[in-house]
Amino acid sequence: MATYIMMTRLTDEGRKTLKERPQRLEEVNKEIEAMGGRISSQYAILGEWDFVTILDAPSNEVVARISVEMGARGTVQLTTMPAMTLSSFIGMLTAPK
Amino acid sequence: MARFIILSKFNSEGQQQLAKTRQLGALKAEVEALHGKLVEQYFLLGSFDIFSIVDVPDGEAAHLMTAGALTKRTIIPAIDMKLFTRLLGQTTETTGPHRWQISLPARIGRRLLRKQTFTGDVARWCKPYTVLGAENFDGLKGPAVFIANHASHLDSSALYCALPKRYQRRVAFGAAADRFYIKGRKGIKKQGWWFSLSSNSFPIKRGAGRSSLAHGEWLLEKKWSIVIFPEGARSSSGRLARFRVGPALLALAKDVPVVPMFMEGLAAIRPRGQKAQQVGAVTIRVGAPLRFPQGTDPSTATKAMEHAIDALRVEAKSARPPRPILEPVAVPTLVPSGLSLG
Repeated sequence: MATYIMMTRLTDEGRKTLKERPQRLEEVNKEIEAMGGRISSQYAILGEWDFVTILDAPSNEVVARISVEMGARGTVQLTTMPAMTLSSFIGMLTAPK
Repeated sequence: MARFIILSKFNSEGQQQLAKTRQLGALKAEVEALHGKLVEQYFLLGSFDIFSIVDVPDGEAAHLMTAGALTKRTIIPAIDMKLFTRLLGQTTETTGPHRWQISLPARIGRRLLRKQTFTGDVARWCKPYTVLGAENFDGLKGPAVFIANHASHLDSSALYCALPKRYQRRVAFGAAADRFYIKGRKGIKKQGWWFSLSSNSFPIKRGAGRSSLAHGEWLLEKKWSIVIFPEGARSSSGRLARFRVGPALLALAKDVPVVPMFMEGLAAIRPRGQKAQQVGAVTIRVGAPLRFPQGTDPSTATKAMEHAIDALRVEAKSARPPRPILEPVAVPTLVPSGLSLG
């Protein structure tokens, strides 16, 4: 499993849906899990984006699929960035070549 | 503690440093110096280089992190998703105040609930429990406004127990309307009327100015005293937050004395945002009552109140004994079956 950081911004329509049915948020999470992702943590945030999700997924392909499926509904815009834990990044940096 | 997300991007110097030293960790040290905690940290591919989740005591501490030497940081307040969903479904309408709270039946009911509301918690968790300067209550007659620092949910119980009997019988607590008086919450113990009955609270709309103080003025007219935490919220930093002007407006409008109190040790028993409690020492310092002459400017009075509590804080700090080692204890469930605290 690889880790991804997914930054989400609601569209106008998404905002409306959320106001009318707040529980929709949890349903979206279930769908992500059904597609093979696993949500390890999630926050509502203030600023340029509305939510941030730390997501574990088996491959880039799975994440791409989640991204397209979610984006296709027109309720959110997603930016997904591959992430690795800082310790493994440092490990990689300091490993002998 | 408040949670923040930090998106960092290396500047050119940062990239050079990274290539040279192959070390990261400036943020961790910074967060720890602010008495915070680095929760999670990832290296990213994309528009940012490092993604960190940190807990720091407050927003001010978060501001101190904006200046990274090697990275450009974007600091974003984060709200727990469960809390966010719950808030979305919640109305902002509030209930109360309840004038019946000073009626005889309500007073009898409150007396019966006293152990559960106030004294039980203090007897169980605040050990030893010390009140210093209680002689300042001696000359006090008639309604007064009691003010104190606010760091824990146990504060009102601890303060109540420090008051002389004659005040315990006639005291009301200013409570945040947006927390304790939300309309339509589930469970008896989350209803506004429950707080009005059990702890004699009345709602104060934070930031609503004088309009939210009418009930407080009415209580003072009826010779009831009032407890207000002028910081307007629990402070988790250990410092005093800026005082709101409400308590001064009340005291000036009804010409009543203000009694400053400083409470120490309660944050350690139940820190903000936590449910687990542990037994701890509590010391309450009572200052000399402040009396303001007619026509005093509310902001001057507020400043005087702030100084009075800060003086008690300084006194407490200089008298602080070494911290005892405490065993954490799970919170007892006091809820009868069939009720839910959520």
